[in-house]
Amino acid sequence: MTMHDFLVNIQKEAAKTRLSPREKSAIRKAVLTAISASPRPLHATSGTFALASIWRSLWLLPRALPASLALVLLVGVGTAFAAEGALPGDFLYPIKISVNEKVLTAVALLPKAKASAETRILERRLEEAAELEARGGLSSEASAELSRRFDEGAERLAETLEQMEERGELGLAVPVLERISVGMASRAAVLGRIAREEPEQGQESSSEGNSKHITAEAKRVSNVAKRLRESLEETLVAEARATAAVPVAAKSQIDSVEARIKHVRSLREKNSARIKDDVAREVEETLRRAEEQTRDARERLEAGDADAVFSRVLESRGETEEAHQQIEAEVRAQALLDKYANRRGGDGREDNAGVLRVELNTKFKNLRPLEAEERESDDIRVRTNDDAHNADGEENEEDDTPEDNNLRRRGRQ
Amino acid sequence: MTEHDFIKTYDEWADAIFRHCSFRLSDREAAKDLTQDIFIRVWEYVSRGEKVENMKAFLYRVAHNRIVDEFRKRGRIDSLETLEDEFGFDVPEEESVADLFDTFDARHALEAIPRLTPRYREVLIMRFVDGLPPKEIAGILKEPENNISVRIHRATRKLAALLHYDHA
Repeated sequence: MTMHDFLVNIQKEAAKTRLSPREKSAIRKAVLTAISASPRPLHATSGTFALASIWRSLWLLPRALPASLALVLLVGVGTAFAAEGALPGDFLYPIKISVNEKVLTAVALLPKAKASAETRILERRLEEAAELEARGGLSSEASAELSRRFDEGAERLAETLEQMEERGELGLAVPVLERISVGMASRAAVLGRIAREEPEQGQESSSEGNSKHITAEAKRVSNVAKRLRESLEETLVAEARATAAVPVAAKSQIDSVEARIKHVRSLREKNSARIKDDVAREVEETLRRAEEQTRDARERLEAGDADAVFSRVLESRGETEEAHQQIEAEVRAQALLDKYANRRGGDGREDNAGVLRVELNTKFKNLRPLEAEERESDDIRVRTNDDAHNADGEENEEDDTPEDNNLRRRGRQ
Repeated sequence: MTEHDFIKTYDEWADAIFRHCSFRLSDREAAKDLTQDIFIRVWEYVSRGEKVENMKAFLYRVAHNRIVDEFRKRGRIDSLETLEDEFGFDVPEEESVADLFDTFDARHALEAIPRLTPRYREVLIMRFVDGLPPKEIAGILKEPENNISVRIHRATRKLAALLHYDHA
């Protein structure tokens, strides 16, 4: 026998060692699940490391500033600051849009951070509309401008979410989508509520009509985000089932929603002074329903009924989100109304704008720009190293930041 | 590479990779787990956008690395024979050992392979079971081709010796 023959014989014999069709198909399914699973651990992606290190070096080497930050230095940090409180029609509003917000998105290198920044920008448009309403009414020009910018912003956000999907970061998208749906819905509620509170005058009733479009748009975005999140969560659940990681996934789902309920409860307590009794009662009812669902979910977990666990968790999350929306809307609306309670009526709008500007300048006079932004700023939240850390795969409770800072601060006013 | 292409890669190479793992580990169940693990790792690599020139070689390389990990976990220690491999010399004609195999059938040969030391086993499996030429084996094990050829020769002789002994 030649070597060649021997080799052939060996290979023929060895070929008898193979996967059975069932085994091959089982592994194939597991591989398919892993392929469509998300998120892939970002720390395994060398691309993210590169971005994170560029990110950190940006703040260590001032010379390596991106163009947008350079713009801020050009207009002057103080001006950029004062622009933060600007509303459509104000002199500094263009700075707010073209400089400050450009910075927000420019320093967000990764899709998740970008999505957060873009969500924040959409929220700002709604807040501006509400502020204008509270201040004296939303003119049709301002309304048109805000609606236009809102639509553009929503488009950009949709693109970023698509990017996240392409990168397989859909799991990360869940908190982003939650923030979008809660943020949009609560601010739309604020806007609607303030528009209705305006005293009956010819101008104001048209103002309510002016805010209708942007309110409707905000609600639409909120609903889309909510549906996306729900279907995403169902996909993640299905994937957990496929990889037989059900009990672990189920438990962590329950833990996560319980943490959420706790968080929303504490929000309610912190802001109890600013929430009317009837709203507080409604919120409590909603949270009680959510807790019932999670209690039920735990029982089902013990009983080993995974399907029931997941559906209860989804419902509980929905209720919790609703309670969160209610609290946010209430606190924001109340704050705005209080702010302008003394100023509505006869006073010209110029006075209000002037008062606002003085307020801002004194507040931030002695503080270094970045510190001030992180500590005090109502609106801009330049998410810096936070974003890099998020990119390493940590779940960030997004709602813990601008909203809670706002709510906390307004509670103090 | 798209998901679709990757699953086609799985369909094409799953058996070969499983076979390789099975002979290396002498453990069918572990080989199944490892096969799944290997394909998932390869997917994670290509889905990051990394390019793979030679998918076959890459699969075997990932498989080899994972198998080495498994051995480390199980605490296998290489024998003295591995020291011999450090020294290379001229590659003998492969044909000269051919006559050793006249007597022995493939099944017995395959059954004897697990009794070889890991270093001999791996090159014999790659050469005889997987059908990889020495050059490709050298690429997978990241060693000079000459060393690989020597080791194959020695492993073959060792295998023949084992079979002789059984037969005697």
